[in-house]
Amino acid sequence: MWMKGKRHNNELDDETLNRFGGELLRAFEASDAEIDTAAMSPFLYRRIRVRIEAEERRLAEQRGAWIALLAGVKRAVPGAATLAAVALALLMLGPALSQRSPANGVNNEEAPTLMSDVFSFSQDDLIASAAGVETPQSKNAGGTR
Amino acid sequence: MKERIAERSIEKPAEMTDDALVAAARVGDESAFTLLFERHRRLVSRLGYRFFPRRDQVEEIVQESFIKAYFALGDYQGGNEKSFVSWLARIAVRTCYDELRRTQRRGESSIGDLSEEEAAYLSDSLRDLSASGNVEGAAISRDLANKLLARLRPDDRLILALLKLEELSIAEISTLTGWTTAKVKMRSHRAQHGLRRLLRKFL
Repeated sequence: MWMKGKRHNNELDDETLNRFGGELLRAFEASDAEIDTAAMSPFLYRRIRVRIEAEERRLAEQRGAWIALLAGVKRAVPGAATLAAVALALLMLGPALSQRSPANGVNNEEAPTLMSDVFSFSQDDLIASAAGVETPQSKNAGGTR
Repeated sequence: MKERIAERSIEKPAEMTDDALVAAARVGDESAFTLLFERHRRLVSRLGYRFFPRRDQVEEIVQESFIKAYFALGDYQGGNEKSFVSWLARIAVRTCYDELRRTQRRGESSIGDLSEEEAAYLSDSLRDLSASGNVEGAAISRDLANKLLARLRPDDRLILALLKLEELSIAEISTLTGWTTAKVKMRSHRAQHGLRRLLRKFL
């Protein structure tokens, strides 16, 4: 019984509050004069046009930047492709060329090293020099100083 | 293409339908878009005032809506007499919704804005109303209404304005917002509940 009464009261409250909410929304409504004033604002369309033009410029610049980037890529592609082809050719032909060299009868002897007598130390010479013992070779080496 | 524009220019612009003006604006006829603006700026302004109290805010909504419309002209698919109005209204409502959400994120309005006098007045009014039931006589200032409504979630506010002020059906709101009818129904129920809860705080 009590519950029934309470629910009835709540329902009434809800109805009143809904109506009050409706009044609240209507209180927020603007008058026709206000709507017209905002709609007929003298520079409204001019401002819209300015913003549209600015946006169009921005979009054009963005498009231009992309086109420039693509053009750069387009220019770079042949150069990069040529370099890649040359590198690939060298990689493929390098071992073949080095294998072919002795068969062509080119002298396979080691190239003479300048001052080989001066710098050709044996391990014994190095130990002896560290120990302060003179060997015949170290004498020669010392002679170049 | 030029011939088609020339043909259109023979026709008086004021007599052209919205769809014809859109077609002309799409191919670069600036005056066609100007005419569309002239015809429908009041509609967008009225929608703006459903959600925002200040003239500068409404003007911003009008600007934003027409700029969006301009860049979306290519997507417009006409067909019937009211198509352009519905399409533009949809853009305007979404612009308002986005701005409501931005405003709430920035925290521009809060219950803290409600002065003690206003809160006391609201409380007294609501008590009187619950005793007398004479709701229609309530003298609610616009400023007070704005402060209270700003406490609602943006989607609740959107639904309430479209439902109670624009007096649109669930199906129409669904078309306007892009939400399903089930979602609109659920949100309208929640919005009314939210408004009642807000008012109860002052009882």
